[in-house]
Amino acid sequence: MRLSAEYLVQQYQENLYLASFSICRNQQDAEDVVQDTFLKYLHTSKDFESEEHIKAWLIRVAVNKSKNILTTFWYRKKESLEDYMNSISFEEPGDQALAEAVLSLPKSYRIVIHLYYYEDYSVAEISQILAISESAVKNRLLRGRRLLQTKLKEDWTNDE
Amino acid sequence: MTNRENYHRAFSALHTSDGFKVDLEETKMRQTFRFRNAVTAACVILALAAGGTTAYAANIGGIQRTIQVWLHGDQTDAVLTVDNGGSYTITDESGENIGGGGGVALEADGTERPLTADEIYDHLTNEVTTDTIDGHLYLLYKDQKLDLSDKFSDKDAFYVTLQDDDKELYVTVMKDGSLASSPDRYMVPGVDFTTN
Repeated sequence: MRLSAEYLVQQYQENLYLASFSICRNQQDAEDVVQDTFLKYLHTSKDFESEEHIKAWLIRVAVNKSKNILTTFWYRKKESLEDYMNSISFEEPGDQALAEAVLSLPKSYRIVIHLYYYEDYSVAEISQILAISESAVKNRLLRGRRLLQTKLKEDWTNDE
Repeated sequence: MTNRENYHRAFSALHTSDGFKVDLEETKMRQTFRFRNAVTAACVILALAAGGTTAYAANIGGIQRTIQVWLHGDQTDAVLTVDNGGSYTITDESGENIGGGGGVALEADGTERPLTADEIYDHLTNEVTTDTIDGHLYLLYKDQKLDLSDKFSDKDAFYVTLQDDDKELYVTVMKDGSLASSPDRYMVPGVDFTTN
């Protein structure tokens, strides 16, 4: 099956942005990734099984493109993460601390944590999206959670 | 509240910027070049020197060309080195690295490939940039330098059309030196691009 790009942008633009941002930690880079990811969708002839399949594919492309950005030495004038976070209107007082704690994790933990806690993907699904083993996903989840618990103390409950 | 609920609420506050819009029409129509400049010193890469030379540099597997760069307000010779991965460096006559970057081209089928030396060269030699020199903001294009310092007395954006033979480029320059350009029309701040 195929869905229109317009529909997918409406549905998943922000999901892709957040997945990318959790890796790049930069708004402009993440927006570039979103643009490029939909471009790739427009040009792929891949046949998808379902909307969920498309979403997972889009996230996988966005994650790979985000990693590519980090592995090059290309540089752009960047707004600091601190400035960006301070410009956000968070709903609750602890939200900024939580977001900053997650974004301070090693990048291999960040994306796993994000896909698990924001996108509600299972370990098996994350394993497929990131093309890593389930044990690697579990390991990164475990270590990420422990680091979050250390940083956030009582604001992060032990849900291992 | 569970961790998941807290996480969801916290990250739901993060969004794409207000002016951001995925451009589906644009991406359908043409090959796209994405470029980033790595400027490690106060330089702006600008124009091809007349009679610029090309030489293959076997030791790095890439291509070197002589170009002219703007450095501290003056044009000077520099060496552009492009490697096979689409990355480039700019070195001054003493061999010191003064800039660099890289880019990819997106083919019609969505695959990425490194930019070729010719594409990087074309990009750099046709790039419009700004630089602040001795407190003055200049627009730099090829060997031309336009002082914009007094153009922003009562507005945040300045619009200028660059004419180069039969080409026209519509450039919008913001007070902070950021700019947007198009061969078709002036880009409008807050509409076509975001400003801080």
